[in-house]
Amino acid sequence: MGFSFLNHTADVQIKVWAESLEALFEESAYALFSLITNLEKVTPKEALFIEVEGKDYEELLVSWLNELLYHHEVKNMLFSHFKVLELALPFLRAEIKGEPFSSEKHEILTPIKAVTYHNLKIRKTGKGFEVEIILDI
Amino acid sequence: MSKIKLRKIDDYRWLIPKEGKMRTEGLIYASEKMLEEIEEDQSILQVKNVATMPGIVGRSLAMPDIHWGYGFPIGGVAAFDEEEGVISPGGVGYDINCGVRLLRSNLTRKDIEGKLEELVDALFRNVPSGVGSHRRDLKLDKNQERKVLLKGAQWAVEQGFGKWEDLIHIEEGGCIKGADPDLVSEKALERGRAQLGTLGSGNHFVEIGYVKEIFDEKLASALGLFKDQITITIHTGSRGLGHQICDDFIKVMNKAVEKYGIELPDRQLCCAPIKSPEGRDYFAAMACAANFAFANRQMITHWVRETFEEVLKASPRALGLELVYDVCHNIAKFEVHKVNGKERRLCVHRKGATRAFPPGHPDLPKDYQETGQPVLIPGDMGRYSYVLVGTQRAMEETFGSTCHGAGRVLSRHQAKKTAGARSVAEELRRKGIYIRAASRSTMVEEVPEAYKDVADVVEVVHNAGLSKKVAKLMPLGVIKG
Repeated sequence: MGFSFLNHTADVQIKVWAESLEALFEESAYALFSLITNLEKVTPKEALFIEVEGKDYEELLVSWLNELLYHHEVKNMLFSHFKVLELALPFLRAEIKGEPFSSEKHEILTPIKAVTYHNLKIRKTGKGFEVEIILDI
Repeated sequence: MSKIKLRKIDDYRWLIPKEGKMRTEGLIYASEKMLEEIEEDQSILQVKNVATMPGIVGRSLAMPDIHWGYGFPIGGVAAFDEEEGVISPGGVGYDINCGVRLLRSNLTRKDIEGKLEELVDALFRNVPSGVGSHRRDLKLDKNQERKVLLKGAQWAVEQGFGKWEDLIHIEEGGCIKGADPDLVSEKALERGRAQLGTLGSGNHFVEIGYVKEIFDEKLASALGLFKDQITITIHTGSRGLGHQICDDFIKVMNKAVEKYGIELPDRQLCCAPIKSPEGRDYFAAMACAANFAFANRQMITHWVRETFEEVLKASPRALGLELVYDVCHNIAKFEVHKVNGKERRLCVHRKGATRAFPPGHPDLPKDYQETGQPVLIPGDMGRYSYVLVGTQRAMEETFGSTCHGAGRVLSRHQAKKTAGARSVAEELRRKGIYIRAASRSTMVEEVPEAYKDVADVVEVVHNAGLSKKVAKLMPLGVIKG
């Protein structure tokens, strides 16, 4: 399980890999928020339940990540803990944990507008799954 | 990396011949030198991809600030037939009606000498920038938000933000018709309510600058610009509301693509026939976001004026902070264009491109009938910006469109590596530019090396005849998210 950042001129591209689809979704969320802020400084003290739909795993992944951005924005919260509870098309249920943004404690490193579908394809590998995600920032 | 063959038409025009599933040719405006950089990423392939979309009219176009986007390239322009064509959220982007407005003034550099820092600090206080910030004196209820989405900058003026005369100098009068707030999701509305009247982060800014150079005296004076004059540039868009609308409708379009049997090379190009329920709904929701962005820039303009009045202790009349123009650079609009001698109503997508209508166009206000539409091209942080005007040639070749900015050459990640631990603020300060940013990180991502030199971009559109250079502006102070 892991992620790395690839070069993309206008935006940010993240490559994520994991042993299972659930872990791929969790790791993608972690990668997204580690771009936004230093996650070591985010205490997982408030929990939220998330439910999203998608017609396939790609759409579900984008919906999941954009849903997290939506909560980050309207609740002004940062999240550092992501647990997929149920993943069966077309649904995803998850629990996420984090805390409200505080300018004294946290720094916003890269504000992200949205997660895109550009060249998005979840691939099965020998060891599990991998995906490259392009973000609009 | 790119193996796509380009055919040189002249020094600034490169044709992508039609092949495979392309319905039309592609055309890139660039100099030979810029083309080398463009060929390094996938943006040429993206121009080709757009050329495969149903109902495309004329060529799939790319301006010289083209760079790799998602779906459409950034710097892309494509027009679609109203009857047979499609409309695509990916052809507009997430930041719907991200745009630029320019204010002129009666002030010269001398008039703000010794006051610059105070002005920038006060702007930083008065214009909310960065994550989660907003004006305490602004509370928007749902009902009012609907009015913002319906009326755009007109709503803002009704509420006392600015003057009625401002509206004349905004593209579409600051309100795109056909907006329907009922098509905007609760989530989008929620994001919008908290963010109206905020600058946002990333490359958005308010900049105090001055007119460094005039290229055309007559045009400059018709636009009210003179050498050493203080100007203010505002760059922002529809914020989270626009991002959410785009995301919501990409899902709708993903289904529509299947429903209407549209074949596409990239999912981010998903679209629907313009006349289909999905197509109409997207346009009506997109218009809401566009209007939100017009209102946003109008409100920020008002706070900029108040800030200048407060710091310089001068009357609005003495300051003369008048709107030169306000342009969109991420938008889809219905416009009438001549195609092979016949007038047709087309849906023109501009993603990272600016409308550049010629002198005499009926959509331009009286005072710009002779000059053509002012076009505002911001450069990167700490370099220069340009004021141009639209031309007849743009009308004939690019559906009245031109470039929108510098265009990135380094990824944000590379920019951070390049900048390392440098103090970008300190470097700019040595060049005489005072900057206040909500986040050090976004400042580093915007280092000048991350961008093409906007002068090169403007040179191409000027020499290709798509627009005409009027003036060059130099920054003095900047606030950023």
